[in-house]
Amino acid sequence: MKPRPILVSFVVLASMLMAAPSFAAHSGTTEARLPNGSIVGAKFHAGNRGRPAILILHGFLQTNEFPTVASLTDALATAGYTVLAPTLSLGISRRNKSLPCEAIHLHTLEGDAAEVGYWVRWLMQKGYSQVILVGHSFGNLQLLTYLGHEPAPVVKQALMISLTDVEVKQNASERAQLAEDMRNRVKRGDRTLVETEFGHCRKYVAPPVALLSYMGLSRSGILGALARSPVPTIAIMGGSDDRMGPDWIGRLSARGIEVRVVPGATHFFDNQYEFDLQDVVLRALSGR
Amino acid sequence: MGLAAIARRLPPRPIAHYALALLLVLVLALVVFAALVRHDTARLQEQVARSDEMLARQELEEAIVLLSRQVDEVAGELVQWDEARQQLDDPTYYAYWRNVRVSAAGVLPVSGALDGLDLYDRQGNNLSTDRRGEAAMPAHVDTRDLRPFLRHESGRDRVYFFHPFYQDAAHTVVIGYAGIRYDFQLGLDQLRKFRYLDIDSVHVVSREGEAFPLEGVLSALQLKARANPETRALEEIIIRSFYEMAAILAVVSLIGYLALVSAVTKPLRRLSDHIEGMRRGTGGMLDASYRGMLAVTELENVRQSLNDYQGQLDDMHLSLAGKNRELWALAHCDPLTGIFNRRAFEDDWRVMRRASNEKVLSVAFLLFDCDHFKAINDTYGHQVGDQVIRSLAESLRSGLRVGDRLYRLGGDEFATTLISVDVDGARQVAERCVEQVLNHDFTALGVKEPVRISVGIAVLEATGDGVLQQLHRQADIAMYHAKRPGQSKITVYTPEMGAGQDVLVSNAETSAVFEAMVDPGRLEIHYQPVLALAARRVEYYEALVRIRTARDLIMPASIFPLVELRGLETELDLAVLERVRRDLEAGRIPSGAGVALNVSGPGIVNARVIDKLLDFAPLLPACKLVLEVTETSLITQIAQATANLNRLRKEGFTIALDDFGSGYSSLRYLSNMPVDLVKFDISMVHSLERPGRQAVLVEDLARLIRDAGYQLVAEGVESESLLQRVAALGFSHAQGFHIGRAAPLMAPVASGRRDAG
Repeated sequence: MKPRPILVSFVVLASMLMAAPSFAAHSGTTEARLPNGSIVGAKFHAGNRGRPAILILHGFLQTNEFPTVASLTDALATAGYTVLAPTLSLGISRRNKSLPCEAIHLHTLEGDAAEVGYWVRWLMQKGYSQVILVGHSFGNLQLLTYLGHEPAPVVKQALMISLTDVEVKQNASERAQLAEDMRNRVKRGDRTLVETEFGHCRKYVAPPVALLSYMGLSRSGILGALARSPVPTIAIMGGSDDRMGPDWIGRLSARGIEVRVVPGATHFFDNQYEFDLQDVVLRALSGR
Repeated sequence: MGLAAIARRLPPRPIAHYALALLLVLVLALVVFAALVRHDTARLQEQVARSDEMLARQELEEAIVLLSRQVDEVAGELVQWDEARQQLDDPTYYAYWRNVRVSAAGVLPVSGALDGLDLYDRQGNNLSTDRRGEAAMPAHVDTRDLRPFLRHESGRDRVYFFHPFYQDAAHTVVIGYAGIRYDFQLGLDQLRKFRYLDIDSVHVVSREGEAFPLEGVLSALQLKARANPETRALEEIIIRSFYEMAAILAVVSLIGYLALVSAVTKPLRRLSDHIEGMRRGTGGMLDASYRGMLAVTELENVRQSLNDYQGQLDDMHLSLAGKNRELWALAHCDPLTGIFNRRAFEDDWRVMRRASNEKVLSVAFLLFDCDHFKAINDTYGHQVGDQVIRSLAESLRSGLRVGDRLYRLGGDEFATTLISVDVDGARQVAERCVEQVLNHDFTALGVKEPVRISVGIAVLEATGDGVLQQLHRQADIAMYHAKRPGQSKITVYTPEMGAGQDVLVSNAETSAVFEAMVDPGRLEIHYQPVLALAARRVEYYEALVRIRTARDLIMPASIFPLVELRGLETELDLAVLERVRRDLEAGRIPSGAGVALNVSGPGIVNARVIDKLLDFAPLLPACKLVLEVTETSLITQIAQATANLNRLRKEGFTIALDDFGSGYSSLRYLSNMPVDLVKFDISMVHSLERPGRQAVLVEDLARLIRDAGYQLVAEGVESESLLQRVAALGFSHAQGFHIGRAAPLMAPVASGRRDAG
C-alpha cells in the first residue's frame, strides 16, 4: 500500500510539532498564582527526567537573578538537571527585583516556607518524583523552615550554600529583646511599621507581626533544624566567608552536618569560585 | 544742466571750504551708513525675534513632548517598581510608602518639578486617605481618559499624567493607576536648557482650575522668546564694529582733513597770499616754513618756481628801479644845473595841492629871474650863459634854507616854494638869494656886467578854496613888477598888482590876444603924437597897440607880459605892422606925418618882421617911418639886430632907441648901434623937474648924446614947463600927455594939434 508511508510521516511530523511547545514551555520563566492571589515567578529549566529536579532558592530579599543563584542555575541546567529557581514574592505580586531593606516588608518566614512548598508541589505536579533543595544564604533558613514542617516526600536532599548564622549581626539577647518587643506590639494590636536592624539590614521596615515571624530563628534553632532535617543535608561554605562567625563551620560540623568548604571563596562564591561552587554542587548531587 | 556745468558756474572757493565739504560729506555718509546699519539691524532683530519666537514655540513643543516622554519613563519605572505594586495589593502602609519610600527609594527622579504622586486602584480611586493640602492629587481619576492634562492651580500650571499598572506582561489586566504631577514651568526648565524660550514667560491663559489636554495645550500657552545671546552678541559686534569703524573713519577723516589742511590748504593759502603779495608788489622769497610738517612735491615745485620768478622780478625790479631813478632824474632834474626842473616842480606842486586839501598851509612861492640874461648870453656866448645859469643855481641854492627845493623852470627862471613861511620870512630868503647872487664872482666867467636877479614873491597865509593855484600867477605878476625899471628887485605880490595882470592868466583875454595876432583886424592901434620941437608940429605918431574885446580894452601892460611869456613877440610885431599898414592904406595917418613903430627884440632879428618892415619902404618918400627898439632888445643877438637896423636905415627908416635910461643905458651899446633917435625914458625926463644930481646927470647925458649926433626924444612930457625945459636942453622931439594922448585915428588928423586924449 503506497499511501501508508505518507500517512506515517504526517503523523510523526504532527507529533513532533505538538511536542515542541511542550518542551519550550518547560524552559524559561514561569509564573503561578498563589492561593492569596499573588503572582509569583520562577526560572524553570526542564532537564533530564532521570535526574532529580533541583529547586534553587535565593538569599534574603533577593531574586533568582542574584548572580550566585543565577550562575548555579545555568550550570545545573547545563549539566542536564531540571532546575526551578523561584523568586519569593515577599508579599509583592510579580516581584522581580531585590527588595530593599527600607521597603515595607509584609512577608513572613512562614509565608516564605509556604511558597517553597508551593514550588515543590509545582514540581511534583510536573511529574518530578525527586526534588533536591538548594539554598543560598538566608534562603537556607526558609528551606529549613519548610523542611521543619512536613516537607513533601519528593524532597530527597538539601544543599545549603553559605548557610547563614542569624546571630552574627544580632546576638541572641538582642534578637530576643526585639522579638519580645514585637510580640508585645502584636499583642496590643500595634500595626505600626517598625524600623530596626535586622540581618544584614541596618534599617529594616516591617509591621511587628511580620518582623516577629523572623525572630523565631536562632543559631541553636538552625543547628537543631539541621540535625532534625528529614533529608540529607550538606552545607557548602566559602573558606573566606566573613559574614559568618569563624566557628560557624565548626559548629555545623559539630552537629554532624556535612560541610564542604571551598577554600578562598566568599559568601557569594564570586569570581573564580563560581565554578568551584558549581563543581562542589555537582559532585554533591552526583554523590548522593 | 549737468552737475559739471553747475559746478563750473559756482564762484571759486577756498580749498579749506572744499576740504570742509569733503569732511561734511564723509560725516553725512557715516550718518547715512549708521542709519542704514541701524535700519538693517532693526530689521534683522525683527526677523530674528520672529524666528526666535517660532523656535521658542518649537522648543516648547519639543520640551512638552520630552516632558511627556520623561514622565512616561518615570511612570514606566514606577509601574515596574515592586513596592508600588505592593501598595496596590495592600495599601495598608500607603501613606508611609508615598511619603517616605517614594522619596527614599530613588526610583523616581529627584526633581522639584515632580511635586505630586499618588496611586489609584483599578476603579480610579486614590489610595491615599489623607489628601489635605494644595499639593494633593485628585481623589479620583477617569480611567476612561488617561490623557495628560494641564491645569492652572493656585497661580501655577501643573501637568497631570496617569499611567496604568498591569498585572501581566501582556498588559491585559489593570490593577491600578499611577498619578504623577509636574510643575509645568519648573519641569520644563529642569528638563533642558532653552536656547530660545524664556521659560519664565510660559503660562497658560486660563481660569483657576481650568484644565487643558496636554496635547493641545500649545495653542493656549503664551510665551516669550529669550533674547538670543548669539544674535545679541552679533548685534553688539555689528554695532560695536560700526562705531569702531565710524570712530576710525572719523579719526582718519580728521587726520586726513588736518593733513590736507597742513599739506595742501595751508601751503596753498600761503602760496595764494604770497602770489597776491607779489601782485601787490610786496612779495618776497617764500621760505620752507610756508608748509606744515608734510611737504608736497607739486607745491614745492610751485614754491621754487615762484621764488625763481620772484628772484627774476626782483632783479627786473632793481633794474627798473635804477632805470626809473635815472629816468626820474632825467625827467625831474635839470641837466645843466643839477637842480630840479619844471617837471619836478609840477609834480611837487601837485603834491602840495593835494596836501593843501587835507591841511591848511602857509605857502610862499618865489620866482627868480636873471635880469638881461639874453644880453649876457648873446654877448658872451651860450657856454658862458650856461655857466652863468649854473652859478645862479648854485648861488640861489646856497641862499635857500636846508630842505628847500630849487627848480629851474626854464631859461634863466628859477623857483622855490617855502612852507610855513610868512611874508617876512619869504622876503628874507629872497634877500639872501639876491645877496648870494650879488656876491658871486661872475667876472671869473668873463662877464663884466653885474648879474642880478629879480624875485617875485607870492605868499598865501592859508591854503584852501583853490587859492593855491593862483600863487604862481601872483608870483609872475610880482616878478613882472620887479622887472620894471625903478622897482625893487624883490617884489611881493599885492592884490593891486593883479588888476592889470589878469591877462596873464585870463583865458578870455589870452584868447583875445591870440585871436588878434591871427587876425590883425582885431587890434586897435592908438596913435600918440610926437612933436618936432623945432617946427612945433607933430612929425609922426607912435603906434601903440590895444586889443578891443566885447567887454573892454586890453592895454599893453596886459598884452606884453603875456606875449613875452608865450614868446609871441614876433607874431605881435607882425600883427601890429599889418594893422598899421592897413591904417596907412586907409589914410588914417594924416598926410605928411610919419609913424613910429615899436618892434620887439626878437622882431628885430626876425626875417619876417624885417620883410614886413621893408614892405613899408614904398611909403617912405611921403611918410616918415620911425622904428623904435629898446636897449634891452638890442642886446639880444646884437650883431643880427645891428645888421637888420642898418639895412632898414638904408631903406630910409629912422631908428629910435626906446626907453633909454631904464636899463643899462650903456653908452657903449649906443655908440655901436645904428640909432638916429634916443628916447629918454619917462623916469629920466620926469627927473628934470626934480632938483638933484639926477636932473643934472640927465641934462649932461642929453647934452652928451646930442653932441654925439643923435636926436633926442623926451617921453612923458606932461606940462608946458617940462616941454620948455626939454626944448632948452636940445631935445628934438617931445611926447606926452601935454602934447597928446594916444588915441585911435578914425579920420585924418590935423597937423600940429596936440592930442589931449
